[in-house]
Amino acid sequence: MKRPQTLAGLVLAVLVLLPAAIQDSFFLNAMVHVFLFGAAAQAWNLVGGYAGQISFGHAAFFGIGAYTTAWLLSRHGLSPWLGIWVGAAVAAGVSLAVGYPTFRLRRHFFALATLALAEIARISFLNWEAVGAAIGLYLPLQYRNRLAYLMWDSKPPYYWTALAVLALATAVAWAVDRHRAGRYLRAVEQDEDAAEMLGIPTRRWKLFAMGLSAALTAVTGAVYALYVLYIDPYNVMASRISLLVVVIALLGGRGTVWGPVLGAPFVVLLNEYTRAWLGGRGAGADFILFGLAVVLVSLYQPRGLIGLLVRPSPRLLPAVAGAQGDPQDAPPAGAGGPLVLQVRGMEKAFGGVRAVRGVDLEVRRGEILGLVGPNGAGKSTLFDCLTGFVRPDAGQAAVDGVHVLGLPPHRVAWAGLARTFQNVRVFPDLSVWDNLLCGAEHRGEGLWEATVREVPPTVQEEAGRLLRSFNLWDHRQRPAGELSYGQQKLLSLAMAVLRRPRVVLLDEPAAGVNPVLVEEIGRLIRALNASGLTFVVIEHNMEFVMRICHRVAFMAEGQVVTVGRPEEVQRDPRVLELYYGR
Amino acid sequence: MTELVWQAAVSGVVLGLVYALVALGLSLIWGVMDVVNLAHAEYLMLAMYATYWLWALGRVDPALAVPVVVPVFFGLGWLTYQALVRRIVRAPLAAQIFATFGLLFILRYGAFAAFGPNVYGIWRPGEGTVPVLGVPVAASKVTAGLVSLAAFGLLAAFLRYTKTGKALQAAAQSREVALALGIPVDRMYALSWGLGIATVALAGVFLIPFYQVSPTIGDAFLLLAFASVVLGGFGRVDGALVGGLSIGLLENVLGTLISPTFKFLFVFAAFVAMLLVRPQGLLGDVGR
Amino acid sequence: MVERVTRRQFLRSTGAAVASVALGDRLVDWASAQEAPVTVGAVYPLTGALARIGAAIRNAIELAVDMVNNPYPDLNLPLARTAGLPRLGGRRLRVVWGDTRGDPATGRAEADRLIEREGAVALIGSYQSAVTATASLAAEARGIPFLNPESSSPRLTERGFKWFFRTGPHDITFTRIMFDMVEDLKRRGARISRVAILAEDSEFGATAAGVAKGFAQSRGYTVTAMELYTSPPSSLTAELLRIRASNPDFVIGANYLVDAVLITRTLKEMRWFPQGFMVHAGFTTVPDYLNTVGRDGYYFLARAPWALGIARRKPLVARVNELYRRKHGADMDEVAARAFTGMLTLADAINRAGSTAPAAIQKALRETNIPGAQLIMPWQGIQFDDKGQNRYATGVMVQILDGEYKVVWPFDVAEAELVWPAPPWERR
Repeated sequence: MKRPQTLAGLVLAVLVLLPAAIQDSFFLNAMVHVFLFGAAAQAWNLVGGYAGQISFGHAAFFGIGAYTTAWLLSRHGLSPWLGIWVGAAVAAGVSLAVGYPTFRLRRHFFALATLALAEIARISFLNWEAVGAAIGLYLPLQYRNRLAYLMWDSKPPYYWTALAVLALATAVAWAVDRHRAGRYLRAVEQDEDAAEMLGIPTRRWKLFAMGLSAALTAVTGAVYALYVLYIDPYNVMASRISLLVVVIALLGGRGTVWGPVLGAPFVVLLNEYTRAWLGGRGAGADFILFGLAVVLVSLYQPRGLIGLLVRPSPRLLPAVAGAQGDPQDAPPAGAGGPLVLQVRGMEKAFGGVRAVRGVDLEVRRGEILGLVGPNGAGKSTLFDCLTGFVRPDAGQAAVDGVHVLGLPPHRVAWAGLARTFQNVRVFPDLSVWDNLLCGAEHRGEGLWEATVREVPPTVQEEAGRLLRSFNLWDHRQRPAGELSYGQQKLLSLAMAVLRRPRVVLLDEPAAGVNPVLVEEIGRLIRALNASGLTFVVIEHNMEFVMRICHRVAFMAEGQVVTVGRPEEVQRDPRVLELYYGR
Repeated sequence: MTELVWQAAVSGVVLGLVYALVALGLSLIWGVMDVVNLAHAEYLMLAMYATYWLWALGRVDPALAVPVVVPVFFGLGWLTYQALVRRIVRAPLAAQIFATFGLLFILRYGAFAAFGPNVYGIWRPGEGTVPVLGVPVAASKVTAGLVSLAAFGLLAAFLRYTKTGKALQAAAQSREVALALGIPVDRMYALSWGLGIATVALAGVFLIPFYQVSPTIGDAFLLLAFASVVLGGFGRVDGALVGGLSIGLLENVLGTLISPTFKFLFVFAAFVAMLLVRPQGLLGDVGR
Repeated sequence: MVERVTRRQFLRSTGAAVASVALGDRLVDWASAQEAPVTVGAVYPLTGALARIGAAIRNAIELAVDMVNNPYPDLNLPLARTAGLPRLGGRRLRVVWGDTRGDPATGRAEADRLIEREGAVALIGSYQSAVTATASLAAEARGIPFLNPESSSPRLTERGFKWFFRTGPHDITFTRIMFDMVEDLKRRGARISRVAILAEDSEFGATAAGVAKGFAQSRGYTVTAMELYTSPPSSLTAELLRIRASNPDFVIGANYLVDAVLITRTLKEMRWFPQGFMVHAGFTTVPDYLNTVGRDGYYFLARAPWALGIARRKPLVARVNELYRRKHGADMDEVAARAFTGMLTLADAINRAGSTAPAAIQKALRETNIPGAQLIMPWQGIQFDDKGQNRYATGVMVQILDGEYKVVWPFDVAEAELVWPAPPWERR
C-alpha cells in the first residue's frame, strides 16, 4: 500500500546515517552537491516540470539566495538561519516581478527570456559595489564551526544541512504533487485556456509555482554559499548552474516528485567521479560522456530515469461511494425561470469583420437554449466574448446580475459560467479522475489550501456520481488522452458541470461523434437540465437541437435574427432563407 | 563625441553583420522546424578550427577554404539531422532541449580532446584596414560583413525563386499541409540543417581571420545569436539580419556612450522587452 | 621518456668519470622508490578555459619533481643535485593532480580529495585567486600546508591563515612595479599623467583593476577610463573606443589570452596605440600570443615575476629552460617559472622538515630561506613573512621587442632599451 513512502523513509534513514560509516570527504562533498543541486532541481521542477514553464534562469535565484545570506552575514553579522529566509523572500519577490509579465510568453520564448534575464542579473551583480561587484564576497571565517552560523570545517554537518534542504524541497514537491495544486499546475501546462475556463486562475498558479520555486532555489544557493565560503557572480550566477539544474530535472524525470531526486545523483556523481577518474588526464572526456548520456536519454527515455525504473501507474483513488446517481431523479425544471444570463448590445469586430453586432440575449434559469446559425454567424465568438477569451468592443453581460464582461476567463467561471470547446479540450496526460476534479469549484480556493488538501469528500462523491452516469467510471484511472473522441466529449461535459455552474455554454457537443453517442449526450444534457442546470448549446445538428432545446436563438451575420420555440424558429422564413438557403 | 558615436555605429554595423551570419542558420532551423539548436555556436567553433588548420597546415587562405569547409559542414548538419534531430522533431520541447544540449557538450569537449585548450588564430602580416564611411575597419571584418550580406541575399533568393526553397517554406508553414502536397518534409528538414550549419560554418571561416578559436568560444556567440533571431523576427530569414544589426549597434553605440560593462545588459534588456511587447520581432507579422 | 632525457642530460654534462657515482645514486633512487613516495597534491585548472595555462604549470611542476627525484649535479637549485629527499632517506616525491576546471567549488572539493584520498601531505595551487581562496580553505581546515606560487590577489595573504604560503608577488607588488617604471620614465622627461584600465570582470581582472585605480589616484594620476568586460568577449570595440576617446597616456590591462588577441587586433584596426600598454599576468608572455598576432603584438609591456630574458644574467635560467624545452617542446613562460619555483620551495621545506607530518612541513616553510642564487626568479630569495607572503617576491617589466620578451625595467637589469612611447602602427 504505502510502499513508495516506506522506501523513501528507509533511504532517508540510510542517508542520514551514512556519514557515520563513510567519512571520505570526496564522497561527502559529492553528496553535498547531489543534495543541493537535487534540491534546486526539485525547486525548478515545480515551475519547469509541473507548470511546464521551462526556465533557464534559475541561477539568478540561486545567486540571490547566496548573495543575500552572505551579504547579511558578512556586513551585518546576521545568522544564516535568518538570512536564508530573507534570501528566499527576496528571490520569491524578484521571481514574481519577473514572472508576472513573462508568463505571457510561449514556451520557447519564455525559456529564452529567462536565459536573458539571468544574464542581466549576473551583469548587475558584477557591477554592484555593495555586494563586492566582480570580486565577490568572502564569507567571514570567524563564524566557522558554530551551529548558529551554519559553517563548519568538516563535511558531515554540511551533508546533513544539504540533505535537510533536499528533504524540504521534496516535501514541498510531494505536497504539491499529491494535492490539488499539482493537478492544476499540470492542467495549466497542458491546456491553459481550458484550465482558465474551468475557473483555475492560471497566472496565479504559475506565479505561485514560480515564487515557491525561486524561494527554494534561493535556499539551496544560500547553503551553497555557506559551504563554499566564497561567492562571486561567476560561481553562483553563471548559466551553467541554470543548465545543471534543468538537466538534473529533465534527466531524472520532469513533473514527478522523485525524478529530480533520482537525477541529481546520476548527473552530479557522474560529473564528480569522472573528474576524479579522468579529469586529471585533462582531456575533458567526462563531459563528452555526460553529453552522450544526455542525448541518449532524450532519444530513448523522454520520461527520464524515473521512466526507466517506474512504470507510469495511476495513483490509487479514494473509494468514492458514487451511488448510481441518475440526475433524472431531480425535480424537473421548466423554461420559465428567472433571468440568469443577460447579454446586451454585444459588439465585436476583428479588423474590418464585424463578427458580433449588437447581440441581445436572455437566458432563463432551467432552460436549454439552442444557438443555431450558419458558420461564421458569430456564435463561438459570442461565447468567446462572454467567457473572457475575447474582449468585446461594446456591450454588457451579467450572470445573475453580476457583470462578467472584461473579466479574465477564470473570473467569469467564478461568476457561474461554464463552457466546453468546439474541439474537445481535456488534459490528455491527466487521468480522467484528475481531469474531472479540475472542474471543481475554484472560487475562494486558497493556494495553500489547495497545496495541502484534496478537494472535499462531498465533491469527490459528486464526481463519482457523474462519472458513473457518464459511463466513464471504469476509465477513471486512464489518462484522458487515451479515451475515444466521444468519451473525451463526455468528459469535458462532466468537467463543465461538476461545480454546478449557473449557466453552461456548450460549443457543438454533438459534433464529430457517432449517432448513438449523440443520443446519449442529448439524454445527459436533458437529465442535467432536469437536475436544475441551465444550458446554452451551439449546435448544427438541427434534429438534436429540436429534441433537447426549450428555446432556440437563430444567429446570422453577427446578429440574433429570431428567438423562440424550436418549431417556431425552424419555420421562420428568415431562418429558412439564411440557413437553408431557400 | 559625435565622431565617437559614428565610429561605434559603423563598427557596430560590421559586427552586427557578423552576428547576423552566425544567427542565420539558427534562425533557419528554428523557423523551419521549431527546434532551438543549443549546439549552434559549437559548429561555429568547429568551423573556425577547420579553417585554422587548413591555414596552419596547408597554408590555405580562409577565403579559399570556403569550398572545402562549407560543403563539409553542410554534410555535418545533414548528418546531425539524420542521426539525432530527426528523432526529436515531434518530441516535446524538453526532449529537444535535451538533445541539442547534450550535443553541445559532445562537440565542445570533443574539440577539447582533439585540439586541446590552446587558443588559435590566423595572423596575416599584410592585413590592412579599409575606410568604411570614414572609419577604418579591418579588411577581414569588412569581408566578413560582405559575405554575410551575400549569404542573406543568396538564401533569400533560394527560398523565393527555387522550387526547393518554396518547398522548404511550405514545410516550415505546416508539416501536415506540406506532406499533403507531397513535399518530402523529412528531406526539407535535413536540408534546413545542412544549410543552417553550412551558413554558421561560413561565419566561422570569415570570423577566424580577426578572431580566435578555443573550445569554449561558442559561449561568446550563442546568446547573441538567440537574441538576434528574436529581436529581428522569429521565423524569417531577414529577421536574423535585422536582429544581428540591432545587437551590433546597441552593443557598440550604447556601450560606448554609457558604459561597455553594461553593453550586453542593454542587448538582453532589449531582447526581453521585445519578447514582451512585440514577440513577433521587429519585422514579424502577428502570429508568425 | 623522462628517464632517457635525464640520463642523456646527465652524461653530457658531467662526463663518464662520475658515472659510477651516478649509478650508485640511481640504485639508492631505485631502493627509495620502493618506499612509498611523498605525495604532494597539485590543484590546477586542467580542463576548461584555462586548461592551456594549466598544462604549462603541469609541465613546470613535473620538471621540478623530476629534478628533486633525479640527480642534476650541475644545477644550483634546491634538491636538484641529489636524488629524492635526502632527509627523508631519499624518498621520492610524487605529485597527484586535481582538476579545478577553473571553478572555486570544484577546487575545494579536489583539494579535499587529494588530502584524504591521495594522502597529500601538502598542496600546491591553484592559479586563479578565486580558486586558491577556496582550495586553501580545505587545507587550512585540515592543517595541511598550502603553497601558492602564482595567485595575485592581495587578499589571499590577509586572511590570517596559518597554513597558507605564497612565493610569488601579488597585485600590489605588481602594480607598484608598473607605476615605479612610469615614475622612472617621468624622471627621464616623459610626460605621463593619464591612465586608463581595461580588465576582464572576474576576480582576477577586477582585483587588478581596483588596485591599479587605487595606485593611480594615490600617486596623482588621472584615471580616464576603467572598463571591465566578460571573457571571452565577442568584441571589445566599444571598450577600446571609449578608452581611446578618453585619451590616456598609458593603459593598464588585466586580460586573458583569448581577450588579448582581440585587444591587439582591435587596437590595430583603430590605428591607435597609447604611449604604453602594460598588462597584468602573462598574456603577452605566453608563446601562443605571438603565434596568433605576430608582429602586431610588439611593444606591449607586461609585469612579470620572471622573463626568459633574465637568463643573460642568470645562466641557471637558461639551463632550466633548456631542460623544459626539451621535455615539452616550448620555452618556459612566467607562470611555469613561478609554479616551478613554488614546487621546489615546497619540496625544500618537506626535505628540511625531515618528516611528512604537516606541522613539521609548516614549520620548515616558515623557516624557508632560499637564496636568490638558487632561484630561477629575479628575486633576492624566498623568506615568508608572518602572513605567509614571500617578502622578496617582486618582478620586472618586459616588453615584446622583435618577437622576444625582453626585460626593460628596472633599468639597471634591463637587457634591452624600453621603447616608450610605442611607435604608431604606420611606423611598425
